[in-house]
Amino acid sequence: MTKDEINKKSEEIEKIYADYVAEMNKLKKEQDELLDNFLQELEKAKIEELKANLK
Amino acid sequence: MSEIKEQSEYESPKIIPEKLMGVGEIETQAGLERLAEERIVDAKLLAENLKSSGKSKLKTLIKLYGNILGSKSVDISVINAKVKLENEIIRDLFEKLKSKIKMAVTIGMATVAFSGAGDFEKAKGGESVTIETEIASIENLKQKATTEEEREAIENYEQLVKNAQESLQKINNSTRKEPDLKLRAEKIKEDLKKHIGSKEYFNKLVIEFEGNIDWAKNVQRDRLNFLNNVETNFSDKQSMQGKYLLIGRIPDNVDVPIPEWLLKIIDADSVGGFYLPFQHKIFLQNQHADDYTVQHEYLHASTNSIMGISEKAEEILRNSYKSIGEKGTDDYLSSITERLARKQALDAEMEKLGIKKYDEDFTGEHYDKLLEYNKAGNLSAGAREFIKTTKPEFFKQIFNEIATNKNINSDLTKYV
Repeated sequence: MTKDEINKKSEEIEKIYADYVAEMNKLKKEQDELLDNFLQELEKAKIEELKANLK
Repeated sequence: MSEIKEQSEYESPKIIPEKLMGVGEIETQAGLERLAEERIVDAKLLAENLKSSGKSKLKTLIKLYGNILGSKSVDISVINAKVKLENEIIRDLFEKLKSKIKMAVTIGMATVAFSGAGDFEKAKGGESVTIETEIASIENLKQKATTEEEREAIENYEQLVKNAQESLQKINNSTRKEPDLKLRAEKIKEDLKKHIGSKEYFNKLVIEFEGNIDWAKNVQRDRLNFLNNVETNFSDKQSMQGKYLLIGRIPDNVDVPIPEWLLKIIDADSVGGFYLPFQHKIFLQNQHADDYTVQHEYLHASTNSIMGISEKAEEILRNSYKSIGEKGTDDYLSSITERLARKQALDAEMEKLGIKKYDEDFTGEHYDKLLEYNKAGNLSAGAREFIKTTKPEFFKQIFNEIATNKNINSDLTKYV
């Protein structure tokens, strides 16, 4: 490969990697949201349980 | 709440590849190869971090709210299935990145290692190009070198080609037929033939081909012929990767060796099998082709990729596709052959799990049951992909009007 071809390939690799990092960040947000929702569900259930115990 | 919000977005990779060079400054193939390897390592690190952070957060929540989880009000299986699914997406993304990077680097290098574009053109014209002729031509080149620099470049290239030659010899020596895989493949093919030749299969073909009995008969016969005539090749890891990476990039009649230095950046386990429709050949990797891979490739072969699929089936499969919003993945999963192969595998998986028998009509109840299994994470990745990428209103039509080939085993594996 010529120097120019090598440069093009390295740019291609960096682009692939940058897209991947963007995807991972997106997934990270989804994961946070998923677990936050689950936490809320748990908290809600916990409050319900406490209310029931108080009665 | 703060406990699960402590992580910020991923930052730039901690391992900076080619720190002293950077894009635009990498001048050698070795540098490029190092960049590729390091980016793959970075990506793996990110994937592992994300997977483990999800798991550990979930573990913390379970620990904190263990008493609630025992009650009926919170269903732990749902979140478990979602986290599991997300981890699979992470893994898939990583696999795709690896494959893209390897493809970018390997093709460039393999082309150089082989002998350059000019020789490919020559080979296309029917003139045989071999490693031996290339080495001979390098000898001539050496005589023509006028400067020390030129001589050094030629010698480097000669070494490259000799390495490739050595690699090819190793590949040829190590390629062997795995008796067990060969027997299993034969059995899977025979089972598929029995199924395709069955009355139930024929009946579904008649529906698929709009009541045209002759047409259905022809298709049934063609599919049996496709299975009878397909050539099955058993290859070792190295040979398999080389063939797969170079599909469509070199003339079919040229056997291109992949040198060791290229192979070392290839994860040799990543391709279990593939089917080449024009050559009507299946390639199975001795060490990595499980029954599902074998069946997947024979399913492709039974319709000779797209050539044996009815227009109706094609239309239904196309219209029913639900995008997941990621172009590369959509391109792959929306292809008719991939959809049909996954649909066929799901058909058989339903039978295996007792959800629905092959000759039974697909109903709303079957759909609900299928979703329950999916929610609980009890379906294979291929089946889940099909459900995720199929519009719900099309399920009945797909399973009642498209003839299919039933599965034998359905363990998840890698296939293409």
